[in-house]
Amino acid sequence: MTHEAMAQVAAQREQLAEKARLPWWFWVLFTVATVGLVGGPLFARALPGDVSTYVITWPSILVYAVADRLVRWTRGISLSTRMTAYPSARRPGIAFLLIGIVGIIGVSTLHRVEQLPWAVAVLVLATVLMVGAMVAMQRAMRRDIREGRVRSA
Amino acid sequence: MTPARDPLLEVGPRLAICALLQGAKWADFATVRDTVGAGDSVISKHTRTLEDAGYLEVRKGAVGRRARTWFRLTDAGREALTAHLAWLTELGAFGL
Repeated sequence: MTHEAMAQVAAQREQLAEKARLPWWFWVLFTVATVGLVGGPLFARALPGDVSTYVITWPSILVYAVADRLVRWTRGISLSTRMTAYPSARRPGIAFLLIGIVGIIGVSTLHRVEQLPWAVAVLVLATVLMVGAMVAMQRAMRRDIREGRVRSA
Repeated sequence: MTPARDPLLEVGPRLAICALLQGAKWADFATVRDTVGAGDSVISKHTRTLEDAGYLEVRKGAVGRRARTWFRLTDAGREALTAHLAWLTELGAFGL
């Protein structure tokens, strides 16, 4: 009886972990939004006229929100956005935020002092690192689901 | 967490439903049904029992014309599940 019950629990966790995998189109939207958010000043400069950075950053944030909502509806599950809910995901989550903050400040500063090639390099590096941190975070969340470590969501 | 048997979780697919919801914030009816592998009426019946016991929170919404029901494990449900799983683990340690 015990073995059967525990096997049932393990099977549910495994299925949920598989269902928690993000679809390919989410990663496309996520990358586009990240490029827009971090590289806002660069893209605003490329547009004709005196365009505010917010013209790029707000739609980028909207793309994040739309991607999140779409994923929730198509997967049929929503996972907690609280970092404390998935203990293993805390470290990559913090890394994601820190890289994002440093990237935004870096691109903005380099753009202001007219160091455009360096600004583009920081944008590319920050985007790659942020996507990498997000991949690590998702992997850690699935591991926590499999091992039953998820705290109050 | 003190291990404690919860007879409520020993009937039908209730343990499976709670185990599934433990890892998510919300899961919709179709996902619970397909993942647990039971029919609509079975899921409806057992989720209602779990809701009445305060283990599940139920939210109903709609996308266009399609109604959608979402389930979430409450703190009470989470505590009961954790205690029940600890009890099962203890039993397992005794080879039962």
